[in-house]
Amino acid sequence: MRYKDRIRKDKIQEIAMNAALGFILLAFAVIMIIVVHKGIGTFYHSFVIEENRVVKLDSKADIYYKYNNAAEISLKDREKIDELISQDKIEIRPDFSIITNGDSTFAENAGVKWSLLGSLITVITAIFIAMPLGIAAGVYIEEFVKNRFVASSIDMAINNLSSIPSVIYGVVALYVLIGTFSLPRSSFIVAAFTLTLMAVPLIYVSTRQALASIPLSIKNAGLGLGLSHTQVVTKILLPIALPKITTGVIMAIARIFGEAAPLILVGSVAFIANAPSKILDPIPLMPTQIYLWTQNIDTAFIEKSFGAIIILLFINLMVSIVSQRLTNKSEGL
Amino acid sequence: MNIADIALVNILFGFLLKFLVEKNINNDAQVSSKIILSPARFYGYIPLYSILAFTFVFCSTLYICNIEIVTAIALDTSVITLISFLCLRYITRALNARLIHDFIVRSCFLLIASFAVIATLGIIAIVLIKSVQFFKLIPMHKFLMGYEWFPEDATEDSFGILKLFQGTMYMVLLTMLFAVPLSVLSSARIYFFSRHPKIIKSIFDTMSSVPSIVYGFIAIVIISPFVTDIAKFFEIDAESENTISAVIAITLMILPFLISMSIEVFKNFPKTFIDASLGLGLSKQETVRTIVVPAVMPNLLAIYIIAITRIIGETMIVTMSLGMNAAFSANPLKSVTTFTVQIVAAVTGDNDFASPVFLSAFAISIVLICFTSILNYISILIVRKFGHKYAL
Repeated sequence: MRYKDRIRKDKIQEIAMNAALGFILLAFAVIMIIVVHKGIGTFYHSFVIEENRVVKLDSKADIYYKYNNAAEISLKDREKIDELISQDKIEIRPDFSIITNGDSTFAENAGVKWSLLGSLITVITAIFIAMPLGIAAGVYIEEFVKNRFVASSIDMAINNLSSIPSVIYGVVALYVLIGTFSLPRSSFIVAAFTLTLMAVPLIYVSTRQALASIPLSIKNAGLGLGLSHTQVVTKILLPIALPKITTGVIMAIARIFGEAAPLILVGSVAFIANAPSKILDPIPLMPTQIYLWTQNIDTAFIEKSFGAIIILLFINLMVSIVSQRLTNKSEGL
Repeated sequence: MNIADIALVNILFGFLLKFLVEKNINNDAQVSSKIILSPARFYGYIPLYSILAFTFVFCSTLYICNIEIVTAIALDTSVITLISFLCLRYITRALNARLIHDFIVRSCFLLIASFAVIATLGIIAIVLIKSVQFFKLIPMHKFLMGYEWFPEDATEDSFGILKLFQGTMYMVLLTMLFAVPLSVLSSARIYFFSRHPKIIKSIFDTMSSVPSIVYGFIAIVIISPFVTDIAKFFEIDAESENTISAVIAITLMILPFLISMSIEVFKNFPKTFIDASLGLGLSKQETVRTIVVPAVMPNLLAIYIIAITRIIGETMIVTMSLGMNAAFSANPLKSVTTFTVQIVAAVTGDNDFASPVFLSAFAISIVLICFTSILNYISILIVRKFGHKYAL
């Protein structure tokens, strides 16, 4: 091949690679900018300032004033708002009703307070149930099962479960928890059990990987010092594997925090405006709240969803930063 | 006195008994010249663990059954006395307490692990049992060979999975058409040619944990209006629930995953090969094109298969952006339907738990589980058979 042709091919490859990466980064950047811009916009609201009182504008009027989007507002309201604008009485002020309020039928008052709380409680419960189950299963099958066939078949089953679509957990949980045990619908316990089913295989897989990556010499050293097998597992192997297991647990948290599909199936999609008074009362959840808002006819709720998405993404970002730091630390070992 | 008090007293007594037994063993060891078989604390664990186990079982029975508190206290006291008598009488230094302790720890692990295994295997069992129930109502060949999907009719001919299969495969095909070239090119660019591959990779790692509801929301709020606007500009008919916006959203969802996994693959390729190739006079681009990518092709293929299982199982994006009606159109500006959408449609509808519509969700689930398991197995097989074995 001539030198010129080689150079030309290299150039084409370079252009293609740059274009691909540039295209991806551009697409993500554009979407992120839109989401962040609109999301931060939900933390501001327009108010009518009169002599000694401040009145919050209706969400349609707010969208009209903020984004100059007249698609939703009626002509009559529009004239009124135009008049107020000409008198310079409307002002945009910071408004944290999206964090301080619960859900509402009016978009300007709706917020994610109770759904954020519900999501946190649900995820914490799910992880606290799933952690012992997943870790114990991983340790037992990696270290204590003597029959290789049993170990490998159970391992294959759980490994497969960690990759099946999450919607199947929803179907099974609906049938078992609500159909058979008749737990109260949209209570946090149903959602927590559903998420537990999802988290156990994830934690199991990370535990097994962590234990398998420990060199055999460490185990043999423990046995040579006179420890029993169980002591080697609990006193030596588990502490060494702990950072990697923690990373697995945190990744499981990140996975189940934004999981919406199984929760929609088990019916955690009720409209709940007030604080739950009893423990098994229906409680809203963050992802399903976003789903409900996007299904709403009132398009002002879509604007609100941007704010909820921002909060969801922020929590996700925090979790993934923690998990990446832990991964870097455990890789250094 | 109530249950909590009984439990508290029991646990305190357990610690007291532990102390007594340990003291007993220590005295024994000092009197006799023989060594004891295990450290003294292991002897103490035996009464402690037995009392804890008894307390747990006893209190949970009390909580479930209505036993009078006086009877309960009498029963509790007698059993505790029996345990302490047995422990003080029979725990001697001749016993190898460490083995017993190991056995207890191992059984605890077994107990918890069996919970997890039963729960996870139970999922598969339930899906299997319920889908067998479905196949009693609807013959299996009609389900697997039928093309029409009208679950509302609930007749034998209205459950044909081929339409869903067609729609899902169409989505997978379109998504992979976008995602494969983009991911190969950009991951090669990031790993071999950029100055800070670690930082860019960590950005993509963060992106790959973004929940799919976010992408579903983006699909209906940003991408779908954009696509319909463009179609209107060229005067083409476009539905607001179109395939192409779902495909773009799924591509965006799957790309960070593909890129970070591809970079992992490139990382595992030995540096010496690259150096040798550069030393022979190939340019860096040629090295990537002719040495690295062909060598890691099987590993990349395995990643793509895993990505396909994720696309098949993707629910939120398709449910939000495609709608629930079971249509199929090869025109990407119209909507198709997938397995997961029809599961959601069957379950969220107002159906009885024994109705064929609800049971059809389990039948689709078993098909999905088969798909993902087979694809997983193929990906493992590919890596095992054809994966590069140059690790030095």
